Amino acid sequence: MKEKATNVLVVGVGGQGVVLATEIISEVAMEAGFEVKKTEVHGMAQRGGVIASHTRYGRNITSPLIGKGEADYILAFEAVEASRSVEYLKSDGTIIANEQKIVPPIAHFLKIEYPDDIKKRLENGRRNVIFLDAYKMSLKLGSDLLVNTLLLGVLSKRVGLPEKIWKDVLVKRFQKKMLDLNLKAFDAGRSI
Amino acid sequence: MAYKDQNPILISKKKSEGRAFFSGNEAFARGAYEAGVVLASSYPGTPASEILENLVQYNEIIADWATNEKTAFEICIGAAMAGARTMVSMKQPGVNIALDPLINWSHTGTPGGFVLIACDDPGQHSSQTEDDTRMVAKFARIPCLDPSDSMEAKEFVGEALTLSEQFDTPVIIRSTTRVSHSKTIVELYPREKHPVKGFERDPNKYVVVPSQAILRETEVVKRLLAIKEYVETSPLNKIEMNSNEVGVITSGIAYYYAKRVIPEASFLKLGIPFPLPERMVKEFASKVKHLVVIEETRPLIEEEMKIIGIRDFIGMDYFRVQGELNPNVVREGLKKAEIATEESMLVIIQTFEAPPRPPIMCSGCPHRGIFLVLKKIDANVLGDIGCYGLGFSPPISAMHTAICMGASIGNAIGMAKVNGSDKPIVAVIGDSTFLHSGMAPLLDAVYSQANITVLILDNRTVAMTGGQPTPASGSRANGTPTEKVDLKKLIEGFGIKFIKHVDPYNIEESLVVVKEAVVFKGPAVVITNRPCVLMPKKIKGMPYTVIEDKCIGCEVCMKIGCPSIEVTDKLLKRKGRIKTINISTCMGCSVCSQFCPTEAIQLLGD
Repeated sequence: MKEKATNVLVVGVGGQGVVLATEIISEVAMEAGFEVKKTEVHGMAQRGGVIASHTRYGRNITSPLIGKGEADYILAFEAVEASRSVEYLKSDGTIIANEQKIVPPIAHFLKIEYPDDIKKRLENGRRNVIFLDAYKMSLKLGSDLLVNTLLLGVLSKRVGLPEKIWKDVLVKRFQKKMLDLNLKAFDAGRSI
Repeated sequence: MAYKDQNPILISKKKSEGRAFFSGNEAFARGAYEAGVVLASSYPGTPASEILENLVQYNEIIADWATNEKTAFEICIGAAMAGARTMVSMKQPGVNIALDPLINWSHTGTPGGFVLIACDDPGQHSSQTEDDTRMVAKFARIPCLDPSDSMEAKEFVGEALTLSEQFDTPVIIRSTTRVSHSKTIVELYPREKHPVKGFERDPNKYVVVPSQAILRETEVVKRLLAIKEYVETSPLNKIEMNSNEVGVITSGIAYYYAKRVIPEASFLKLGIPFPLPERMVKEFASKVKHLVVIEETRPLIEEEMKIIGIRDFIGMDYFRVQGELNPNVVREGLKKAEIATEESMLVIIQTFEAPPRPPIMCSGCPHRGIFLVLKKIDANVLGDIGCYGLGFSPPISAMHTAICMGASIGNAIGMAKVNGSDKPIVAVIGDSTFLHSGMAPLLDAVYSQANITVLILDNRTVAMTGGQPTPASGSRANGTPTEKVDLKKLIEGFGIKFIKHVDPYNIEESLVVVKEAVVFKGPAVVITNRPCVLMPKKIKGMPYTVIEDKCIGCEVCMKIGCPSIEVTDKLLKRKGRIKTINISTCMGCSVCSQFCPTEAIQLLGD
């Protein structure tokens, strides 16, 4: 039986919540009745390094790894990581990228400037790019811990998994204290 | 492709207890539970650590961390000698450490089912080597299973234990980072009962004095022949006949990469790549026009095929002889071999240049201060394996060697003995690595009265692998309190005459003590006393801040490599830019404030 898959790559910096995001995407896809595989590398990546987590869902899923040129969606938690991951994007795929900059400390030491034209380079005149300042939006909603859910909201509107399942999974995942804010952030993401 | 579809015979009798989305490592733990494992042991190491971490949730299994992989292996041998089903797990370099008991345990054979889960790390995401444990299985002349996903990871534990008991042999399951750290859907089954049989004396079999061991050698040869016969019909080795044009022989995660790229091919999926099912391979090879072998990491299947006289195939030269496989590498390899693949016209966008983001020491890391002190005295620093390995990378750049677990002290002794350094020789080793394999070399330093300084960075945990406890932490794998070793008393017992504790957050004090230690005649030990700031729990103090008027843009604070110190856009009149401290990530260790020449870095609110 032939594989039929939707490929979602989530990238960011260790500690930003990338792994939690793909946990949620995977759970939603599973609840929606799809077969799911997900992979990422633990260990050194936790020390402020790059983290890339792959989720593939659909029917007869084979490899958990998304190949270069195969991602239907890239969800980037950090601007430079969006640009680093672009080689994974399908030619008609969509990048959803947080404008937030986390400058690697080594960049200053090596005298490498953090690029300021990431949006333009990502779009390259034709690609599907959604560029938003999720960090600022998250702060406005009342906490700096909502970037994750907000970006998932943006993705949810596009991947086509049912909104109700997303919300059911969020309700299961978040403690009461933070749940309302997260649901608000998710809706804010969906409105983009 | 569910395991159930592939192996209906194997699991049709089992009653499902529901489904779960498990990583390979969670699945290995669940597999041990279902297969009636009674005791498990391990030493933390990525990508294997989560196996034991997940085992502690099953009350039926006795699961503890050991001080090192050799000890973990020997504890499991003891349980298996008593007829208990046992599982030992470790990362691949750990297998090198446990090789001595592994080889001898292969010779004696095992009364209780015994499985070793070895996690290889192709691509070296977090390992010093990318070796292939299937090769170790060949060396030890025992079978090796190679699961492709979490369901197989779980089921193969039971298969391995049955095989172990049937053939009186330890069995290896080789995992890789992508199996251990990928999550796939698994079907859960109830636990089988395998009571502990009790130890039965059989010294002729279990005492490896040469006169007895040579008799066992004959048994090992016979056993391997019997296993070779078994693998010909094992349901874990499966032929999926599709097109006669291309036939792929593969094992482990490589199976799914191949399936992804060339789904219409025929497959011989080797759940047991060693020993090779000779007749099965020959039959499969005869049925297809183009034979392809796709495996990760070393050419084991390929070499075994050449031994049985099959040479006409597309092998590792076409794919990758170093690094991790992935669908792209498989696709490119097949293209080189002129074999048509799915989506061969894939468009790949060129990534544009981005600043690198290597892992660095965390904000507030207690290792930072001590490396800055070692840099000040310009010592030759012989390092070891752990988070402090990051002391090697810029801008700190104060660690000059690191060979393997526990190597630092022995290396220092050798260098000191040949008068090979005009600078102080300092061995740097973490608490867990010291207890793992640093104690014996420290005894050597005492015995040979080597003029070295040993810095034990005691952060009370195995930090790099996720904060597991050590014998010096005071808690066991499941969190229950236990005795804790007193490092100072332990070392005093060795006969070390210079032992001092320092606070690595206090640069001045650390500098004075380290200077005393390096001029001390004979081995000197300095122990740092700050716990890891992140694990097992986060320790955040009041953050520091930059007084902008006082900042002269000198860059000294940037040279300590703290991720909480950032450069602002504000230009100074003279030159350079004003720095700032991210108060939400600053842990308040104060090290940067001790280096700032103008006292521009102050405690927030002072």
